[in-house]
Amino acid sequence: MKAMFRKNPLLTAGLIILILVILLAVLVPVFSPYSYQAQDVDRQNLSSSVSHIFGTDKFGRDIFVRVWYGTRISLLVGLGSTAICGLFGILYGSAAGYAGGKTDLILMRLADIIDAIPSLLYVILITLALGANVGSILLGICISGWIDLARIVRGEVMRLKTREYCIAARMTGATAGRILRRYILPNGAGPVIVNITFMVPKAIFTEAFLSFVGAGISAPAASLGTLIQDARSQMLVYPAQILYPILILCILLLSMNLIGAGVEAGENQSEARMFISFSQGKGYRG
Amino acid sequence: MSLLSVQNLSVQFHDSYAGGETVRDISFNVEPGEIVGIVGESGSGKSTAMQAIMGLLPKRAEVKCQKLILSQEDITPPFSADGKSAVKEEKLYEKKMESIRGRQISMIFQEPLSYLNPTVKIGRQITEVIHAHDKACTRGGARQRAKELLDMVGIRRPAERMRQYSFELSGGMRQRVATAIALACEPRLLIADEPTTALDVTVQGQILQLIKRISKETGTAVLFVSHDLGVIASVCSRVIVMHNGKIVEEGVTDDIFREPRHMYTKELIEKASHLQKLPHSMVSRNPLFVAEHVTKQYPGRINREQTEAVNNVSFYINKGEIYGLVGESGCGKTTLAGMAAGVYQPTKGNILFKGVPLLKMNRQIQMVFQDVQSSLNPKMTIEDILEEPLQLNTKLSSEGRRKKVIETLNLVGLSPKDTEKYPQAFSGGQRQRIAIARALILEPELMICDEPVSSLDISTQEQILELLEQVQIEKQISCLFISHDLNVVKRISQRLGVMYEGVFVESGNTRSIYEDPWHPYTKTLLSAILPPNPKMAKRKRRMWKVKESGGKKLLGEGCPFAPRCGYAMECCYAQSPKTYTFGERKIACFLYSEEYTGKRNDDYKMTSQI
Repeated sequence: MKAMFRKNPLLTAGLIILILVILLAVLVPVFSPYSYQAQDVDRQNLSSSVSHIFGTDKFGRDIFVRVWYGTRISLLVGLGSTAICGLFGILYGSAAGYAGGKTDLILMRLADIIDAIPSLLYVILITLALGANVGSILLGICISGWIDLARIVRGEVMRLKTREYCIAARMTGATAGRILRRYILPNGAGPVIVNITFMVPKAIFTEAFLSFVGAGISAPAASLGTLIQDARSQMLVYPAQILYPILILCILLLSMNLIGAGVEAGENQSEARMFISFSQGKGYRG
Repeated sequence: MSLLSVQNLSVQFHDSYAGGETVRDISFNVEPGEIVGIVGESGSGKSTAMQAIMGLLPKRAEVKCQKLILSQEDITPPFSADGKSAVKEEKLYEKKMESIRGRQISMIFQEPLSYLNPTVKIGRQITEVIHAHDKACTRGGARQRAKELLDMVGIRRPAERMRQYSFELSGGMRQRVATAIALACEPRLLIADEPTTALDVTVQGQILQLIKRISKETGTAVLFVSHDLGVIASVCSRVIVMHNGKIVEEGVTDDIFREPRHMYTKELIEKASHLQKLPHSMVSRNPLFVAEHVTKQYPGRINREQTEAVNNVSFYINKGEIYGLVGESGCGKTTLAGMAAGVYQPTKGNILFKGVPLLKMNRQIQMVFQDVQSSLNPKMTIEDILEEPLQLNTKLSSEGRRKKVIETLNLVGLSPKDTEKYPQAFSGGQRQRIAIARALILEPELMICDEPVSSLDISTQEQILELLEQVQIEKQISCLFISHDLNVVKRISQRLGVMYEGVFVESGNTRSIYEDPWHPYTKTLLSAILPPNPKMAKRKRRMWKVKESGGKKLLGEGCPFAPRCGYAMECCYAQSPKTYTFGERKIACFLYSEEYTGKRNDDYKMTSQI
């Protein structure tokens, strides 16, 4: 474990930052004396102090609590949508890739049709229909978020299913599900995992963007995007109010992208190692 | 004065992946105009040593050499003890080597397809090299020289070929073009690194003759690297034997092959000669597996033209017999294997297993594959790999499964301690043993071996063949043994079939086919075998003249071998020959037909017509 951290500083740094952010997001709203929605007319637009670390906004709400509360929602959207999209994408891609032929054609064209409509449109329509809350944003992101992953999984499955160990497994009577589970997916996991790790920051960013343009989480609930939007009106007077949520959003995205880059680098490294071991045990083929 | 003199060359990799010295303190000389063979198993450091001489190794390799002299010029690579050599020295060396590579030493590689640029025409690739080393050369002059070169390496109509791309040429042609590029600047030393390993046997012979001829005509010295003793015996005048990065023996080819002094050389030669032996035949007619007029067509993409991978093939395998299947790459062997295993269905014809049509995969038929890298799942331990078939097909308890796994591992000569390891921890030969164990664990009645030894070294090859033979005798398993290497097939099989372009051209008893081949193609294949014995190699100087397959296939009409056949008659192009049966022997050639030879009556005893 230690060796892995030393070898992959990107992944290590990303994980440490992410764990810190998660801890803060979970603990701050629980232990803080302030609520994210309680307004206090006497304490409007305070600057940073010991009692209000990030100061207060124009309604006198504590920005520190609101920022970490918003981070919770961002994390929920990011991780939740990735989990759903990841699962669905892998299943869909495996089915299309393994079945091949007509099934593959129909499944993938269906995915193309869903993908043809911009994903933002889905989110906006769903928030309009179902109300602006976390659930509808999750649903909106998940409608088309799995498609890229499904394409990658399909490619990997198609590449690996003709490998000789898969044929050997079929000859001993292994079922399609077993071959996928034990032979194809473990070997094709590299690019899939890399893709999944990059889905998290993408979803977080989408949610923040939607909230910023006003199609996301509605008041008094806060996400990082709504916080930035709220502070925008007095940006010139109280720049700190917009700075803090942006900073946290940046840190969150940075950690996610570091993890993604770390996983990708690790993947390439192990591939390089494999390549070297191949070229050493050089095979002569006639 | 020798052309190349290497003194105390060592190469070490500072790397987490490959530690230790790969080349240890080797010294040798090459005289002008001679062909020196370097032989050794893969991993013995042959290629690394060659690349060190060329200065082609990556930075992480530490090259230490006391003296490296090429025709009185010092090309010793810089080395400093602290591991980091001075940048300036390195640059100077690199500059010097740039002028030497190509002009003084040039190289031919194993795989010409990856060496030639597929997006540039052949002609440009040669003229580029000429321009790079001779700036004064005019365009027309370079083109003229390229034509001469192509002519020299035996390519007909060079002007036409120069306008083609590398993928339009056959494997042998590509290797010829690569040779032409290597010779473009009249180097004094040509390093050939396994130049024929990727080629079919018939083409291999031609390339070897080409290298020999060029060396004689131009006085170029050749350093010929190969793992194949037969190849070395047929071209080289002197041999260097390498083992574990060291030179274990060096001497004139005849002496080395006649009286090898070092244990390792003895072993190598013995193993290679062992392959030449014929098996004892024991045929019990009791067919387990029968293929009747099997045809497999693949629908073509363009113009919906159908390509026939396998065309009207019939054969049978007796119980407890090894049936060999030989043919060049691309002749449909693997497709036939897939059909025999039940992976695909034939388009026409029947496959019967134990008298019942084989419609899907059968647990009683298992397969061993060629590529040891991809035939085992890298994410499963050996125990998992071997246990899975038992889990799926038997009702054994986990204790019983474990016992069976260990029993099978012992059978294939692996230790039960290895069960927790992953396939990466094993060498090629060991992996093939694991693959054989996986095939055997369900106790099949028929095992299909698709080129099981062609990616292995000669000594490992022999071990695997011995293992297969032993297992086959012990368990009385029938075996369909596929290979492009006639040597291997004849070593192990009792009967064999020779395939050409999807058709069985000859089949019968291995011994009789080997001793007296009837079909012109079989004869060609046999004459292409290079015995690991320089005397025999000299005696059969002339190989059977065959043209390389031109890539264009006559579909449907005519004998597929006719364009390459020295005995082709008019009828050979007009219609395809039927299969004529003479006892055990079946042959598809008009030379043996009644209507075209007129020799045949009922009591006529057919012999070879060529």
